[in-house]
Amino acid sequence: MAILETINLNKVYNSENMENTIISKLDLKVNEGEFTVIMGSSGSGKSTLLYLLSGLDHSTGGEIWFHDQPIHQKSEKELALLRRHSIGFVFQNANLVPNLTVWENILVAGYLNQGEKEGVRQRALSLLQQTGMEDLGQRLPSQLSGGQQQRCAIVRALINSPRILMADEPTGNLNSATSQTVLDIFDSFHQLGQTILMVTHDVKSACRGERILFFRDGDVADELRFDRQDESLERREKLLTNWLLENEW
Amino acid sequence: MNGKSVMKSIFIISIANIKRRILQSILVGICIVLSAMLFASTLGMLKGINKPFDVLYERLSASHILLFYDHLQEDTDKIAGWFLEQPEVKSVLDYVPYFTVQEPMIHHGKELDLMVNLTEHLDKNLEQDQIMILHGEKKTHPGMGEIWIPDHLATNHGIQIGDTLGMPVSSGLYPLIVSATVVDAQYASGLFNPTRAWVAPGSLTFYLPVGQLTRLMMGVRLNSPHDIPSLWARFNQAHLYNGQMLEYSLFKSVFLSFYNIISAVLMVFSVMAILAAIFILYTMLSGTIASDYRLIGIYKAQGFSPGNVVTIYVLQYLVLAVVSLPIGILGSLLVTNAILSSLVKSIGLVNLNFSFFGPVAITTGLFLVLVALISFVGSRKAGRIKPVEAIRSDPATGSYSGGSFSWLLNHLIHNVPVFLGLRTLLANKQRVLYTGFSLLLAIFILVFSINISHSFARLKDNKAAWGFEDSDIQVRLNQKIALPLEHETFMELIKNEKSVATVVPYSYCSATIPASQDKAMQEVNGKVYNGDMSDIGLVNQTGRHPENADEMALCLLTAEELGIEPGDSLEVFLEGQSITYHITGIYQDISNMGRGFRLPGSAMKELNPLFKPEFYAIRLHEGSSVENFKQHLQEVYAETVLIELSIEERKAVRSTIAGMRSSLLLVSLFFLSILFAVLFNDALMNIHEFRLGFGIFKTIGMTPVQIRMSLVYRMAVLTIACLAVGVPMALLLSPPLISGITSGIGLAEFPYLVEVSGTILVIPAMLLFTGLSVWWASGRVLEISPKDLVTN
Repeated sequence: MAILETINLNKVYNSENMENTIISKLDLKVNEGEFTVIMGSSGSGKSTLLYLLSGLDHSTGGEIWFHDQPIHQKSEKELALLRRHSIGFVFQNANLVPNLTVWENILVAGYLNQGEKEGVRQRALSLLQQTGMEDLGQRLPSQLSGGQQQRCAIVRALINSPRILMADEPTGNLNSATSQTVLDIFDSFHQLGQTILMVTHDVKSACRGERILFFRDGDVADELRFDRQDESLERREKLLTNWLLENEW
Repeated sequence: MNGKSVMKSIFIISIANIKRRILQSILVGICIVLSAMLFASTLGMLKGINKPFDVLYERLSASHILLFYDHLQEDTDKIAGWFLEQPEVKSVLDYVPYFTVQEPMIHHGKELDLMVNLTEHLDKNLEQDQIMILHGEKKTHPGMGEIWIPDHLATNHGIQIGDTLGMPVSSGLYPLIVSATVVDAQYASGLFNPTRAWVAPGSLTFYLPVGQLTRLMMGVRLNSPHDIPSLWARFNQAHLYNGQMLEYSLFKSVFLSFYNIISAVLMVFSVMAILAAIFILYTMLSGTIASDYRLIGIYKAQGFSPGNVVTIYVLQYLVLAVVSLPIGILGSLLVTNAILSSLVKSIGLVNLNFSFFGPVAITTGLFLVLVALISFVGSRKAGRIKPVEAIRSDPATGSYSGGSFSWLLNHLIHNVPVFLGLRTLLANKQRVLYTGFSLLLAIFILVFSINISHSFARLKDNKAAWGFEDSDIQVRLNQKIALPLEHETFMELIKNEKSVATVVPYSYCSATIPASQDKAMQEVNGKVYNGDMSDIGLVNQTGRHPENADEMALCLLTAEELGIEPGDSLEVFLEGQSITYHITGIYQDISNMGRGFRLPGSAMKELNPLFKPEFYAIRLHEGSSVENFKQHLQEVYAETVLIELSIEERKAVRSTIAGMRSSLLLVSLFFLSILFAVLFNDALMNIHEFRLGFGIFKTIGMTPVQIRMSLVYRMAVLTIACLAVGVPMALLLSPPLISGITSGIGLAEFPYLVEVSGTILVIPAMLLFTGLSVWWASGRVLEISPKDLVTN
């Protein structure tokens, strides 16, 4: 069942009387429970797509449906509420609020959803434990490593149990070991049924997904699916690399 | 880089900085404009207020000394001759007959609240003590049956040309037609009582029996008013003068009293505004340098020296000052001109050019120096920034520590906008400090203005503290009827009235304090009380009321001028005799500009056994209706008793109080507009500083309204804190501050009354004002695109 769907989606930027088409007549479905990855070269429009799907940016044409809700018709306030309740977002930079502690960064997002006070605390604590961050709650973002910051950002994104977790190059600023830890966290939450939509250009990251969409010139140019039950991570990585070489990506 | 090209680069960067932060630049400009405007206006008023009076005095060839005497007691020719022989004297106007009308004039059936010296307008008045006709036919003298009245009297009582005034004289109510309203230099203020009105030459004999026309007025015009004290001292050595004397400085101080108080209040506020401006500019500059941290590193990497970096900011602020100052000064010229024009118009002067060169030059110089100094001191830290550190890292924003607020924050976190408001408040303590300072200042001014206005408005509830009798009604016996009531009879009757609690009879008198080695002789007006002064609320600041025949209390400024304290002795001439009084107390009294004395009735009885008091201050029992008692008096005593207007009912007093309240309102609005600029700037800087945070909050689902509310909550918390400090501080500091201002007019302890409801109202009003200001400014939050922020 599709949790997100775009129909004939367009995004055009106008600058100095020049039209720059970023997304062009895109039809896309993201299914519930799936770990979908969007791959593409720099400037292909994959991040823009993520911002359009999350309501952070506005399309210039077409439709975006979140279940039965038309994102393309929603007001700023309605979009804010939708993000609050149903969408978690992880950025390339953790984008934690610098003057709030880890704990506060997470709770603020939780209480925005008018969650029951103790319930939100319990969930925050549980998520921090799941991500190995339980001892770092009182630290400021500046006192954390990049990987720790990103883990905190993931916890913040998941605090309201969103229907979908969107991630824009979540390991783009991390070293290899730290990236593995972050991706393992994504994996573990996906195992628990979390729908994930991740944008990346990194093969190691992309092979964590079960469905990979290849983005070029604002549209899905190709698609690859893994049967995750059968394939090991190494095997998927090899398959993906070969596929990319064969298709000249 | 050579010097010229460096300066060019600095100039380019400074201008670019102004443009880059155009809104902040505008707010710095507004801050300079407003404080410069207030300061220049105050200077302009202080400089300008003296001129109209002096010009008027000069144009009308007004006498610097006015003598009022009984020609049966004084030799006019001898006095006039003596003055004419003195080198300081320019001319003498003698033999001007006048008569003080003892009862109020009647206009349209109502009594006027000013008494009148009815004076004949002679041919000599065309040379000295001229009268300027403002409205009415311009002719040499009033015609028979006509009267010229001061313009303030006409304005305050709605008297039109052609109206009839009933003049209560011995033969009854004599009708006089108002044929002109005039400006009379000495009596240009409505605060003078009695004032002076003019009638046709030789016409006084129609209103009074010749035998009663014994009073004469003599005007002495000098080359310079500075010669008055020495001349008067010499005069008193040469003559034993028993009459009254009024002189230039008294006329002037009464005329300018309102403007002087306003100028003094404005000067205090100007200094406060300058301090606020210094504080705001300094902290704003500090914030700018912090956010330019990396940029400064880049400047230095390009070869700018620390001095060059400092110059960038000094120049930036000086450019803003140079642009803003002319606007502020232009505004001040408009304000000052408007105020002075109203003053000038009221005394009929036209085309009076004021030179504002002095105030403009002082304001310009002072503000340029201040701005240069503040920006130099504030930007020195920019010069010390190490380029490598600046380029490679963000400024040390300081790690957050909730400190003692952590507990509170933990409990508030579930209310996200409130929590964020508090967190952003604690994140930049320096800006909180300057916004808080501005808030404190505005709260102080508001509470100050409300309570000072209230103190003036509630004069009637606190009369004794102002120096007036704290009675419910004041009456006097009508001596113009065929069978007037005797003092003793009236006292017997009035004391037996059920509603009456206390009656204290009193009278006015004047005494001469002889010259001493370093002080000229002076005429002082005082009051004689036949009864316990405490019964009508009168109080002393130090010492006690005089009770015995050889005791006297002195008004504050008289005591100060004479250097006298309770326990000292003072020799005065009273009722033609020289007596030495033992000074028992010092009191304050705004009437007569803080000068005067109080005597017990027994003192006067000793000098004049026939002495009878003229007025009766009556206090009623608690709960008795004043209006009912007035009606009762009129029914029972009919025309034998005349009810006086109380001080608060007098038109001149009421218009002065109204003017004072308007001025305080204007000052309050002025400071509120400064506060608005500060709050607006604060909100914008907060949005700028937390752009990333707000972008993230939007991403995680905060609505724009919630983000704006977090800013409103932030300011609400700060406002509540400032109210908690500012309101008690204002209540505590206002009395000494206003007393300092009014001590020059005889109120060393200003009768300060707190208006509880008004003061309490400041709390919601300030919360509403700050909330709305921040809400408006925070509209900028709507412009923040989370996508742009998180991708940058």
